[in-house]
Amino acid sequence: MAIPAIQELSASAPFRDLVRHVLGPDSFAVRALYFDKIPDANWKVPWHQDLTVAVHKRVSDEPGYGARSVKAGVPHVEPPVSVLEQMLAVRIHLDDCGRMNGPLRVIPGSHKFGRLTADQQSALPKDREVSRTVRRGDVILLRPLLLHASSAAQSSAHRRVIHIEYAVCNLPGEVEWQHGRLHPAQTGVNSN
Amino acid sequence: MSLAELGYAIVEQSATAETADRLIELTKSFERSGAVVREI
Repeated sequence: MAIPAIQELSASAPFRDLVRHVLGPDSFAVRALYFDKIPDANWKVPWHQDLTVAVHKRVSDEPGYGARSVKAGVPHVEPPVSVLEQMLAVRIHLDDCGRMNGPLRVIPGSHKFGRLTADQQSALPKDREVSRTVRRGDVILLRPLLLHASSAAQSSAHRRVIHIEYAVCNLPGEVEWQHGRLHPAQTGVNSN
Repeated sequence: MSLAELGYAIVEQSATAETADRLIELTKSFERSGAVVREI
């Protein structure tokens, strides 16, 4: 969220409208990621939930906040499920993503089971898996607790995605989002 | 079925071609740096 163009995108009317319908008027962007899959850097992503969030600084002992880590110099923590349940990721695809491009695969409804152990993930019926191909300009709205995966691409084409995460609440105590916060008087205005 | 039920939804053609082109221009600097996953 340090790039002005990404801040503008996250606060743009189309994105705000999409998020408002799900999270309400007080949501704000807290993290943005860029993904690509190309022949030289192409990978399979196993089934997982998005359980960590980027925070402003390392915290040692906030109750309910665990799995502390640092990714690319940015501190991350695993917040309580109640925080993740109030988040939404908006993923805009910059290229067509067909079956050969490693599309997103999901287990519909799996977000309703909270944080899943490895055994619980294995027990979910994978015959319910849905592979979602998209066109350039399409947006996928994704709850972080939804079990999802993707295969390695079998095509040399790019599969570029900009992924922006939104939240609706501040974090407790000394824990702060890396970017963004809810202001008391906020009424649908992005704080970044 | 809704996003609340499924946990995901697809919004077709949410971005215009112009927006996608502008974002691709932005991502070219990431490509030049060799990054395929990065915080932005």
